[in-house]
Amino acid sequence: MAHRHSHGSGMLMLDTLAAHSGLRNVSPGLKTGFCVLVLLLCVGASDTVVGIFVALSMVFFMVFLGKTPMCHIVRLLKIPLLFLCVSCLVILLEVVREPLGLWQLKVGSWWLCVTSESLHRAVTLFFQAMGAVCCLYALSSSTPMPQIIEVLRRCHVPALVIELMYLIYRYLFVLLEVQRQLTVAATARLGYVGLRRSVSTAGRVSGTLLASSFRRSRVCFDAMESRGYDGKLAFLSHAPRLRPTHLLAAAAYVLALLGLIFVRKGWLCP
Amino acid sequence: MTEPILRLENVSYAYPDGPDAVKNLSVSIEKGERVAVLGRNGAGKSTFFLLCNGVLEPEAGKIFCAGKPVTRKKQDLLELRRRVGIVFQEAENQILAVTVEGEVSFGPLNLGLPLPEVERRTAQALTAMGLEGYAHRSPQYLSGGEKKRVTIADILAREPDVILLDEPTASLDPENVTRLEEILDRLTQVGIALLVSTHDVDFAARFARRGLVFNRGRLAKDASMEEIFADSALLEQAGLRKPWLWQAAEAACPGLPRYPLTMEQYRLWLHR
Repeated sequence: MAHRHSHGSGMLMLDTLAAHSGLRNVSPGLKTGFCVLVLLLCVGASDTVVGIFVALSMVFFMVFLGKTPMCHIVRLLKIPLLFLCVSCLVILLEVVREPLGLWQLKVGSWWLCVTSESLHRAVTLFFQAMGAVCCLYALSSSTPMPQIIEVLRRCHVPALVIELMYLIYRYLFVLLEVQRQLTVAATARLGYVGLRRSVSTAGRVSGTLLASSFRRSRVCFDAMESRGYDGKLAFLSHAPRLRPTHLLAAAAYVLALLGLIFVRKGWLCP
Repeated sequence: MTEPILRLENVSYAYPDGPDAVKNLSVSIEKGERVAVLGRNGAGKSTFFLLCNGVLEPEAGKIFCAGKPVTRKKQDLLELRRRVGIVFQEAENQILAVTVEGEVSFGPLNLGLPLPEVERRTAQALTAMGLEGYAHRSPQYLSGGEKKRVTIADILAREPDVILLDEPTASLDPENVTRLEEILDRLTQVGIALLVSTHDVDFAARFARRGLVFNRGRLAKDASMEEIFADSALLEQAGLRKPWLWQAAEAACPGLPRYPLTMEQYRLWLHR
């Protein structure tokens, strides 16, 4: 099997990672259910230690079970990390009339303060969110999109949404390729020299992409009709089966996580 | 005499606000035939294919499928589309599903077949195209030749009597063209009629015994390949040229009525 790792945008990277993941033979239903459950527990627990535990264990799953290279995980995590840092900073700082708390800065007639309360809130939120993000990455870096869509279909998501998801996912790659070719052709004619020209070239590339999408959609519909399409998109799909060992392992992890949450909340000791 | 699988009688079609794309076309296709469809870009080849498959509705004339006239009734159209399949020029425009297996199963599922039969046909079509082990691959990670084979498997899984291939050799490397020719040979062996539109006259000469030459929406000639390539006026009119083997043989020995079309014929001709 050819290993073609595209080092392009996040979406494409996730797709290649999922296609080669060591966990791709685990039942997608189990993976989805597991990740959603852990995600809910992590968000619901709203606790720093639980968040750190979930984040680290999910990274562990990706690296050691999924055989996903660490450098790819770091690259994936960079984007939400930046976003999280900015939003936690906002929560960390309080704007008040009087100086109070651990740290203060005077801005005009107002004070920017960090209180122990706001610090606790920001740190908790940060790790809570990190745990949740790692959960979703663990799912999407180990499960190819078609399998996730198939799980959603079994969860009775409306057929129209499922069909749209399939088509959008398929045409994402087709249109990205067209866009890449258009961009290369424009670059070869110095279309991206200088800001002004770059903006106008990007506009033209988008316009051409739109026009070619319309053309393509007509041909595609002809191709679908010629194969007897009559309003219902159906494909055969074989997902990996659910194995008892996988189920047990997932259950054990969830129990351990529940135990940790109980300990942290102090629900175990009377 | 048995009825031809597909027969068009005085068929005309014009695209909305365009000139006639196909004018007064009559042609019939027999079981297991190999036909090359030649002509310039925009001469009406693709329109002809879409008409054969019922995607376009003829404005005048009739289409017969195994002797029965095809109306615009859903049942008739489905029957026509089951018997006649099109392999489109651009694989990207045809491939719809996100796995190879899903893609090939789309056609048979549309036929409303039971699931085990769909699975059998999908597996069989994949095997016939040498795509075993590709079932769970995503189409975006396939090479051009592999994509072409997936699109042929698509059609094969519907078990048609006629397959129309729209410029199958465009964008294929020589190795994949050779492979395609082997695949086409196998399809002929199982009795499927093949119509191939192409600009590659050398390929057409190797592939077909019979040719249809289109020129400005009209069928300019329906004859054997030898007759077509012997007709210099027709070739000029339709923007075609003689195959290199034919030209080489003609240069060596001018004035003969016909020359070899395939390498095999050329060898025999040299040692005649």
